[in-house]
Amino acid sequence: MAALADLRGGLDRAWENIQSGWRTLVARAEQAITRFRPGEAAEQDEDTRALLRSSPGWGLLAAEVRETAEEVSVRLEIPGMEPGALDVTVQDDLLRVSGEKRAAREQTRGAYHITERAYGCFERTLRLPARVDSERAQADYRHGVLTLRLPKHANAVSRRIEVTRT
Amino acid sequence: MSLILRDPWQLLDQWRREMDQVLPQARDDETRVVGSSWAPAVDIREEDDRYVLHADIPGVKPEDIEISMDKGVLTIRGERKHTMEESKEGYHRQERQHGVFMRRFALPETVNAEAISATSKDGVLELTLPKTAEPQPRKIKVTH
Repeated sequence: MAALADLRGGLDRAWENIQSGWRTLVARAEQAITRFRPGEAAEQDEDTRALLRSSPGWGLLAAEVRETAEEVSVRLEIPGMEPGALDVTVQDDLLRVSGEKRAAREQTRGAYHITERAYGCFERTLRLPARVDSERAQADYRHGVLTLRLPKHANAVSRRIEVTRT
Repeated sequence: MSLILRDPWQLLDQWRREMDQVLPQARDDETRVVGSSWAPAVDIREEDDRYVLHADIPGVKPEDIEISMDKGVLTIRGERKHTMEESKEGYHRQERQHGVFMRRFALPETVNAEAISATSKDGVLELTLPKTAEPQPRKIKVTH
């Protein structure tokens, strides 16, 4: 029976490994999973509502946050948006990006065979690694990627202080 | 002595089912090609005279997308490249997938492969696949 016990121990360890890999994956990506809720129902026709019903209620808004000595840069993948429909705010060290991804009217004619893309209102909040000066922030939307350059707040910029002998 | 040996494949299946619920793109998807590091989400719609495919490919330049049609199979392939000027340092969060993506779709015979057109805007690829005029069923009269 020793061999069977070994086998069982091995399987349990394999399962532990799978679980730990899974936890790592979830920890890395779970925050990118963003809920999409239907927008204003008043301006939707029946075809749009049908599309919203069959589309997933969530989408991946993958983010990239990078810090240099002077600024924090953030990239967020949000394909298919009008730049004006994106709302970006910074409060203390929290960055909030929200908006509504609309199913364009001409997009809803006909029958859908596959619907994997999400539509509706979304919001994602990211904690910034440093205080930033939102007055000087720059935002750019290109190829479906929102790029924010947020200069650090004067107090957050690290300054090298020379040590001198008196 | 009762020894309950759990079936490892059952465990893997359970794991995969759990993963499917969180990341549907990671599931066994026959449209996804082995070797690609990510797969874009797509919508495919059928109209009277054409099919329209939309794929989310944020951060991929139009010139880095390749579309081909071979033996009734449509292949969308491309690459999300890292921005050149940046070093690997200073990242606090990196959720974006870089590298090659590829998806394949078997298209109905009614698609006119010659007339497929593609545009890309705001990270969304739009493919228009017109249908050919369907051959009319022909009746053959039996004479005697």
